[in-house]
Amino acid sequence: MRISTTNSNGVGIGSAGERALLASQRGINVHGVFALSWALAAFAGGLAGMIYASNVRLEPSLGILGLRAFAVALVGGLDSLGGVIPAALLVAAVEVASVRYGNPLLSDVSPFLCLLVMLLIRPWGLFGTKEELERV
Amino acid sequence: MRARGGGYFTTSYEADLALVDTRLRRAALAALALVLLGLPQLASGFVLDLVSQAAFAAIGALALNVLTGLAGQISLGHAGFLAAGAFTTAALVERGVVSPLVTLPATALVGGVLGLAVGIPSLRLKGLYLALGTLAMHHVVLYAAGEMQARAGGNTGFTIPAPRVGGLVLKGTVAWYYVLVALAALALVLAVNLQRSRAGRAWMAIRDRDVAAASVGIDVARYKLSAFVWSSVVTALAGALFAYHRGFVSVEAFGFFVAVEYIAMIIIGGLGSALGAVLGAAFVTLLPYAIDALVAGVSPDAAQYYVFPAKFGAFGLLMALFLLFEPLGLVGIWRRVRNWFALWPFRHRPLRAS
Amino acid sequence: MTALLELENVEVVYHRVAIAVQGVSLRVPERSIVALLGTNGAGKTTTLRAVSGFFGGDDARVVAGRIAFRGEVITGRRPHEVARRGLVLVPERDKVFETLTVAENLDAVVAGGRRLVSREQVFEYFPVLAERRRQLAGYLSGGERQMLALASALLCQPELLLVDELSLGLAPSVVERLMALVRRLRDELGLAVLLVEQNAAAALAVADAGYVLEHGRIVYDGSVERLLAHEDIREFYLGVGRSTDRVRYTDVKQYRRRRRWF
Repeated sequence: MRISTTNSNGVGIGSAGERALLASQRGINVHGVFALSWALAAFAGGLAGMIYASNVRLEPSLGILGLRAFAVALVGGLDSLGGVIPAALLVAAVEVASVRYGNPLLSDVSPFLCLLVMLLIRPWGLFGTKEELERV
Repeated sequence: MRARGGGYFTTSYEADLALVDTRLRRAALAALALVLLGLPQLASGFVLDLVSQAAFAAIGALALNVLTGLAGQISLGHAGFLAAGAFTTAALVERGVVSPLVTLPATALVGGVLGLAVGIPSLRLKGLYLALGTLAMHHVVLYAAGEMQARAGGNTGFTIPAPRVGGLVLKGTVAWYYVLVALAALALVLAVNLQRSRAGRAWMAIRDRDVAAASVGIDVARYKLSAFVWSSVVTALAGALFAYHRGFVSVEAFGFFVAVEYIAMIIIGGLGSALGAVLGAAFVTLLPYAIDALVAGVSPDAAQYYVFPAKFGAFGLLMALFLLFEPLGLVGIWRRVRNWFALWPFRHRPLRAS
Repeated sequence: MTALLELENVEVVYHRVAIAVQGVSLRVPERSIVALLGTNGAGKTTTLRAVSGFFGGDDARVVAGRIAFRGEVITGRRPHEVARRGLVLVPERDKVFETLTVAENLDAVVAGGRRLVSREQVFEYFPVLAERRRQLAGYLSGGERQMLALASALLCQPELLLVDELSLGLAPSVVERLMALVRRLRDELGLAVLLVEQNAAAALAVADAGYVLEHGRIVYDGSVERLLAHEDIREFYLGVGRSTDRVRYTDVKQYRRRRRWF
C-alpha cells in the first residue's frame, strides 16, 4: 500500500506491501520495511493508549478500543496517511452524536456502522486511491 | 501432500464413496466410538464436561471451517452468529415458547437470515475489507443483543430452562455429554460430506481463484452466500445449544475474543480440513486446563497470580508459533508423521525415473 | 577460471517430501549467455528460485549442494542480499508492481554498489517505457510488462541476470526483439545472463552455451553448436523431426546422464 508517492522510500514501502517477494528481489530489505512499519504502528498505538488511559481509565480491556482504528483507517482510505485525521474526527463526531442523541450503548457500534456504510458506498475510503485493479 | 502407498482398490461405487475406506481407519473409528461411548463409566464428571466442551467447540469450528477454510471467506463475526442463536432462544423463552422443537428451527431461520445479511458484503469485498465488514456486523449483532438484554433480561441476562421434548428432560453432565458428542459427530459427517459435494468443490474453487471459478460456470455469488448461510445456520444452532446447556445467556459471553478463539481453532487445527477443525477445537478448549495444571504443578502458591495472564499469553504465543512453524496446523503435523511412515525407509518421494 | 555463477550438485525438496531437482551442476561464465532448457515441470524455475532465494511461501528448501556467486557461497541467502550482490532475477509471473506506475516501478529498486546503467540508458533500451512513464503497470501489455521487468532488473545494477521464461505468452516478433536486446545487453554492458526457456529455438539463437534439464536432472550440456548438433535435442526441443513415428523423449535413452556423486 502506497504511503507517499513522491519519496522513493515510500515507493519502496508500497512495493513491499504489494509484492514482497518481488520487492525483495529488487534489493529492498522487506524484513526491515515490515519491521519498521510494525514498530511505527505499535508506537502510535501505544501513544494513543497512553492518552486514553490518562484521560479516562487504565484497564486491561482497553485493548479492544484498538479495533476502532480499523474503522477510522478504512473510512479515511487504507493507503492515505493524510486521510486519517479527517476520518478520525468524522468517526468520533458520529460516535459522540449517537451517544448524545441516541443510546449510550451505541458508542461501541457507531464506528463500525460508519465502516459498514463506507464499505457499501465507497470501499476505498474518503481519500484513498480508487483502483480497479484488485489490491486485496 | 499425501504420500499414500498403492494397494487400495475399490470395486464398487459404494466403496468409492465411503467415508471410511481402509480397514485400519474402520478399526480406529470403532475403537474411538467404543471409548466415547464408555467414557461416562470410566471418567469423572470433570473429564466428561471437558469432552462436552470440546465437542461443542468442534461444532462451531466445523461451521467456521466451511466458511473460511473451504470457501475462503474471512469472517470475524463468528461470535455474532453464536450470540444471535443464543439470544433468539432467549427471546422465545421470554415469550413463553420453551420447547426446543420450536426454538431450534426458529434459531436456524434467524441464523440463516443473518448469514445472508453478513454474506452480502462478501460479494464485493475480499480479504482485509471483508474481515472488517464481518467485524462490523459482529458489533451490530452484539449491540442488538445488548439492547435486548438491557430492556427485558433483568440487566444481567436471561435464564433458560432445561430443554424438554415430550416427557424427556435434558439435564445432567452425562446426558449432555452424549447429546453434544453425538451432535459433534453429526456436524463432522456433514462437514466432510459438504467438502466432497458439488458445493464443496465450488467453494474450494472460489477460495483458490474466484475469477477462474466464474469462468468455468460456477455461480460465485450464490456459492459465497450459501457458504455464509450454511456456516451461520450451524453456528446459530450451536448458540442455541449453548443457551440450553449453560442455562444462562448474557452478552458478555460473546465478546470479540470468542471469535478469535474460533479462528485460532481452525488455524491451529489446520485450515480447510474438517479433522483439523475438530483437533483445533479440542486443543484450544483443553489448553486453559492444561495451563492450569502446569502452573499449579510448577508452583501452587503463585498459581492464582500467574494463571490468568499465562492463559492469555500462552494462547497468543501458541497461535504465533503455529503460524510460523507449522502453517498447516495439527493436521499438517499429522500428515508429516504419516508421510514419514508411508515413505520409510526413504525420506523423500523420488524423482520420476526416466 | 572460476565462473561467475556456479551450482554444484544442488538438490531442492518441496514440502520436505518431493524432490524437485537433484544433482544439478552448472556454470555461467562472465559476459556470456547460458540457456537452461527443459519442458514444463523439469525444474528450471525451481533452480532459478534456489539461486535467487525466491522461494516465498512455498515450503521448499535446498537440502544439498552449493551455489556460489563470484566464489562466495550464497545458498540460502535472502533475496535482497542476493540482489544487492549483483545477481538479479526477472521472475516468470508477478514480475512488476501492478498498482504502481512505470516510473514508480523503476524507482522501487535498491541497487548494490556497481554502476551498470542509468535511468536514461534504460529508457534508451526501452523507448516504449519512456512513453508510458505515468501509466499503471497493471495496464501494460505483455511485451511491455516484460520490458518493464527487464528494465527494473537492470536498474538493480546486476552482474548476472537470471531470466525466467522471457518468451512466455509473447508474440514471436516480440520474442525476437527481446532476445536481440538480451544479446545487446551482453555485448554493450558485459552482462552475464542465465536464460531459462521453454522456447529452445529462441534461446539457442542468442546463447553461448546451454544445459538441458529433464525431470530435475541435467541430462546434456555443452556449447550451442554441440547442442544444435544432437539429434534428440533437434527432435524434441527444436521440433526439427527426423522420424515420422511419435516418440516420447522419455523413451529415448540417448543422453548419458551425467551425475556427480561427490
